Amino acid sequence: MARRAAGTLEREVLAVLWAADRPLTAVEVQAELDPDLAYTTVMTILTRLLRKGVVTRERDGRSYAFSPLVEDEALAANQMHALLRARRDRRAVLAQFVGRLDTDDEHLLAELLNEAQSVDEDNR
Amino acid sequence: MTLLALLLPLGLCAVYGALGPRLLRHGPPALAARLLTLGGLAAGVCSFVSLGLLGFTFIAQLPDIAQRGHWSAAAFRAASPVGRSVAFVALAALGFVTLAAVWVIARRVWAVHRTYRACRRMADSSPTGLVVLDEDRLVAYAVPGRPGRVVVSRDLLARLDRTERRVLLAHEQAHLDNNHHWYKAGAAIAAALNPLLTPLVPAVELALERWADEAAATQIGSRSRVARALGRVAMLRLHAEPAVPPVAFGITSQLALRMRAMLDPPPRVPRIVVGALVASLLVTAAATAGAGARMEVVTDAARSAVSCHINGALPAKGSPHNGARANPDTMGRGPCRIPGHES
Repeated sequence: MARRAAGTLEREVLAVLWAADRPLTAVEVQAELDPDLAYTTVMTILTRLLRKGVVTRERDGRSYAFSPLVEDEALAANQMHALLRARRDRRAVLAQFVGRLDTDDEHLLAELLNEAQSVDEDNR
Repeated sequence: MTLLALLLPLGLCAVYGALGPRLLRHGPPALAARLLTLGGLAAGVCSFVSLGLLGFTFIAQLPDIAQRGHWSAAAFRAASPVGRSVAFVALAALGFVTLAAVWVIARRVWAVHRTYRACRRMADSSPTGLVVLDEDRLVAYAVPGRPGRVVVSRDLLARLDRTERRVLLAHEQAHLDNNHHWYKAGAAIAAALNPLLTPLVPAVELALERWADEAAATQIGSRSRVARALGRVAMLRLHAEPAVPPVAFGITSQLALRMRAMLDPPPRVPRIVVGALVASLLVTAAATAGAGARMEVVTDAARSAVSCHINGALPAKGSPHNGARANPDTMGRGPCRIPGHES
C-alpha cells in the first residue's frame, strides 16, 4: 500500500465516520479504512480530528467511539448549497466525480463494471 | 507570403481543434490536458493577433488614421497583403472575438471567485478539506479554493465500500491539487478566441477527469479498482435518481471512456504526436511574429511614401489622392522606399 499524506488520511478517516450509521471505535475505523494501516496511525488521525473539532467521541466500554460533528458540517454544507444553486457557468468550475448520466447507456456501463470486477478478482 | 502567414493561425486552430483531441486521446491525460489547453491558448492568441493585423490593414487605410499616423493610405493599400473587404471581415471578427473572450474571462473569474469565497467561509467548519452533505442525494465534486474542498453526500459515502471511497476522495482531491479549474478556464478562453478551438473544451474536460482517475489509481495502487468505483457510482446514480441534475458536463459516454481507459494498459507518451503539435505551434507563432514585422515594414513604406511625394520624388503606387497630404512633420524625413521593394 502506497504511503498517504496526512491530509489524505484525515479525509479518509472522516469519510469512514460519516459513512457509518453509528459511532465507531478506533479498531472499527482501522478495519473500515485499511487493515494494513497501523492502529497507532489511526489513533493519531482521530486525535487530530478531535482537536480540529470535526469529530466528537463518547465512552464505549473500555474505549472511545468517534462520530462526525454534524452541526459544524451543516454550516459548510449551506455554503455548498448556495454554490450549487448558482448558474451554469459557476457550476462549470466544479468538477464532479460522475457527471450526468443517461439510462440508455446502462448496459454498456454494466458490461464495463463486470469487466472491472473480473480483472480485480484475477489480480487477487 | 504575408497573407499565408496571417492565415496560418486560422489553419492551425482548425487542425488543433479537430485533430488535437483525437491524437492525444490515448496519451497520458495530464500531458493531454496541458498540451490541449496551452496549445489551444497559443493557437487562439496567434489567430487573435493575426486578426488584429488584418483588421489593422483596414483601419490604416482610413484617411483620418493615415493622416494621424503620417502615412499614405493609398501606398498602404498598394502594399497591403489583403483587400479591403477581407480586412473589414477580419476587423469585424476581431471585435466579436474580443467581446467573446472578455465575456468568457469575466464570467470564469467571477465563478472561481465565488467558489474561493465559499471555501474561505468554510475554513473553520471543514479544516480537513472534506465537506459532507448530510442528505440522500448521491453527489461528489471538487470545489476549487485555497485550499479547495471535496464535497460528498453522506448517502454516497455510506453506499461505497472501502476502496471505492478512497478512489472517490483521491479523484476529487487530484482535481484540487492540480488546479484543474484553470485548465477548464484556459480551454474556454481558447474557444472564445477562435470558435474552431471549441472541440478542445470537452476534450480538456475528459482529459482532466482521466488525469484525476490516473492520480487516484496511483494512490490506491490499482487501475481496475478505479474503473470499478466509477462503474459502481454510475450504477448507484442511475438506479437511485434517474433525473440527476446536470451539475457538470460529464456524460455517460465519457464515463464509459474513462472506465475503458482504466481497464486498458497505462497510456504511453505519443512522442511523435507531441513533437508534431509543438512544432506546428512554434511555426505558427514564428509566422505570426513574421507577419507582424512585415506589417511594420508596410507601414514604414507607406510613411516614406508620404515624404517622397511631398519632396516631389516618386509617388506611391496607386493613386495618391487621399493619403499623401502635406504634413510638415514628415517633410523630407526618411529614405524614399517603395512598398514591396524590400522583400
